[in-house]
Amino acid sequence: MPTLYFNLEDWSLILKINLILSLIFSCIALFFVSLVLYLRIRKNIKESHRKHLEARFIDFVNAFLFDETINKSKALGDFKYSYIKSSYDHKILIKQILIFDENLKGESSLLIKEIFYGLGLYKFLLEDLQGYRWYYKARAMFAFSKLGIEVPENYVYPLLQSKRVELRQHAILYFLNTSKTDPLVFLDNLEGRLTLWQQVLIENSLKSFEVEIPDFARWLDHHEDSIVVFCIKMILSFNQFQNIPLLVDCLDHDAEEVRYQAIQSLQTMEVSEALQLMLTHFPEETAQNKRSILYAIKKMGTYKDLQTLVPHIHKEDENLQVDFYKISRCFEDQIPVKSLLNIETLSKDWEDFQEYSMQQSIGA
Amino acid sequence: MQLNATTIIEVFSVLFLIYGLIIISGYIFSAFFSIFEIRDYKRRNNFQDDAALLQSANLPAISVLAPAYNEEANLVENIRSLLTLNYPSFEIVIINDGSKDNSLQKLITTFQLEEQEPIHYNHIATKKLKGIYKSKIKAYKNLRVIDKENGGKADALNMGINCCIHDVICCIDVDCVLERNSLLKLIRPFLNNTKRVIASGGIIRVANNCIIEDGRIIEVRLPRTFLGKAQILEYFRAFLMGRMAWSRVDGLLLISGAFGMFDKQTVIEAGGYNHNTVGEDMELLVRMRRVMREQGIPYKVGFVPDPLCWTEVPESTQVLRRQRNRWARGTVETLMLHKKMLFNPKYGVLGLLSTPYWMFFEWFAPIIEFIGILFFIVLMLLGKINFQVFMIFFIVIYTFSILFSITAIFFEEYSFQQYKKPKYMFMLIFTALLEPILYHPIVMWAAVKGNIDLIRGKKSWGEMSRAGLGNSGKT
Repeated sequence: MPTLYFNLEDWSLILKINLILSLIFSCIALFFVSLVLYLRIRKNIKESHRKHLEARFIDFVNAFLFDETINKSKALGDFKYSYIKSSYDHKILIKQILIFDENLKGESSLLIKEIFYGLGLYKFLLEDLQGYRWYYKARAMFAFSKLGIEVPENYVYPLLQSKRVELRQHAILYFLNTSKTDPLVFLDNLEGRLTLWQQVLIENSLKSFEVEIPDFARWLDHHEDSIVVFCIKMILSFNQFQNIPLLVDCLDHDAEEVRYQAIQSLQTMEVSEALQLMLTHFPEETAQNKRSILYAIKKMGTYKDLQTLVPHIHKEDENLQVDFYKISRCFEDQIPVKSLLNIETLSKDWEDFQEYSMQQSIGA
Repeated sequence: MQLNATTIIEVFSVLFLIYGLIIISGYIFSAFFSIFEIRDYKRRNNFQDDAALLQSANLPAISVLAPAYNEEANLVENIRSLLTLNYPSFEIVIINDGSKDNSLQKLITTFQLEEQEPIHYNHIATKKLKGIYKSKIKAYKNLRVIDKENGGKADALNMGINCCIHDVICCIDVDCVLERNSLLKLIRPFLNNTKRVIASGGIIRVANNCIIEDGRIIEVRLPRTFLGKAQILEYFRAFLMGRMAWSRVDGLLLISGAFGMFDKQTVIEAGGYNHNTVGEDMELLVRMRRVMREQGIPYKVGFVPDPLCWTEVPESTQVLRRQRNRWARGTVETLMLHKKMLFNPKYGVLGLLSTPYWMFFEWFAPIIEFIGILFFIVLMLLGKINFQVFMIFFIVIYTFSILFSITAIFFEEYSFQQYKKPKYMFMLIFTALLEPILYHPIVMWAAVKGNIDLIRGKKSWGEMSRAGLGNSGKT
């Protein structure tokens, strides 16, 4: 029987390693417990400091905006040297400035910007923008674009081509929000896909835009398909009906997603003249676009339009048959769909239906 | 004889140490990767504007699929809560999977449902549809109820996929509590990626004893029972450490069935949920990833660490054992179904890292642990080992378990700090001290039993009774 004594010197190497590991694990565990406590205490202290600074800042802003007796430049200096001690203080104040700026207009908004410059927040953010940390750059871009404050363009242009999607996004928003005349000019030089998220943000910014919305037709021949798709959506969103002929041209575009968006937009705009071209394209279209064309017929076409597509929906296109069935029910008064097509046995019935449909069209 | 016994102990100890070191390295790896992932996530989302999303008509519409089986007690409340989610365009599809209770009738009466013509696609084969219902009331226009023959959760979800109308699907457990912005957050990876996003998942949180009003978490509390608290630690470890790390290296193999979003087309191409496994959620994601990889299509799986979905965890040992038994079987079934991927460089991270990790850490770990305990007991009974040796092995495992749990608590504190009261943190630390002795053996045995049941051919889910969250936190 092996006898192991509690004398460490007699312990085998394995046991010694285990003992050391136990001690290491215990120490690290204790370290993490301390870290948890430290984080909690630090968070509470920071929170309390934040509340205090915010309260002081709100008082200061109120006085700066509404008390005409104070010496503004002295007040700015006093506040700066009394309260702004760390980078965390800068961050708190930048957030507050953004909140004020969002809620104030006109002269008050200009005074908020004066505070922004006066407290050295512009300088602070500009340093972030020149730094190498992407998230500091993103924060600076976010603040500048929200406040509509311009910075030297050579700082921002390279970010449009950044590998980091967040930086690209903030650069886009910056150009949108600071442009006085041509908010979408950056699209000319944009490389890479415009993600859906970026599209949503641009659309959102444009909706609150005070200058004239640009004509989106300008980018319908852009080499990047996602930008073309975005412009088609925006033509619809901003009711630029003058561009309908160009949208119709997009039905011939090489990219499936562009054609899809064109079909969707033309359908929503109820451009019935485009339907004939869609019907012509139907046999060569992808499954998704075929489906869109079927639904376009539902909105702008007749049963005859639908009937012309029957030969092009093949026996194996079960999903399209279901779509066809759904849509043809809207024309129930012209054809007894339910009695001709049983949804349970749709695919089996389809060839018979194709034949019936062909005879009907010959008869007509 | 004495020499042989010593040699056996030595060999066993070395093997044990090697396995232990592999496990420790794995956990250290996951801790490092997840801390970086959480940090980057926080940085990425510091300056995002959800409000912009809500106003957009260009967001992809979502079909929320919620299978329900004998959920009569809380179903109406849960649906009401789902209907108030913040998202510009979505439908709620409830799939009544042949419930034996009065669920359907209750829904028909409450929401004034009327039967529609049963038109649906046949993307995936399922059990027979009985009827499709829609509400006559405009306020519930987003709600559809599908009634079908009983076929299990996977079959119900497949029917939901056949019947839903949108291209992005969100599969949920109907009894989960979702944060109001959960769809907005979970759709983000789909919007902000240049690659095709096939799925995105979120962190599941424990809702037991939390204060819930109108289907929303009002106050986060710790569960009353030790089992509940231990599962909080387990969820921290699994989600904040495990899945965050896998997300960082793009090796995520599981998106929880309680709350996951998928690209419908990819799900259909992969063949939908597999109803021959009890781990259908894991199996689907593995298959989707495998299909994408085999077709050579660049893709991405997103993961959102915000607390978006809250679920009730079992607080009785019996139900917990059944749940873990099923999870173990699901893991083994999935790994066996996709054994071709194991150590296969063709599948990149999935083949060389994720599947081997799941095999060693999730499948084998409880078995090896169980065998180790048996071995020790046998040696002790035979008097081949003394108490000090046993204790030193026990202490090293125990201290590591505590370290792992404490690290997970640190991650929670660093990231989302959901448990605001300081006493909760202390209670969790205290739970971490007891968990390896009082809780871990239960789940380990359940996993071992799961393996045995699988060999015996058990396929069922097992009854999963729940206390319900309706009265959570009420005193």
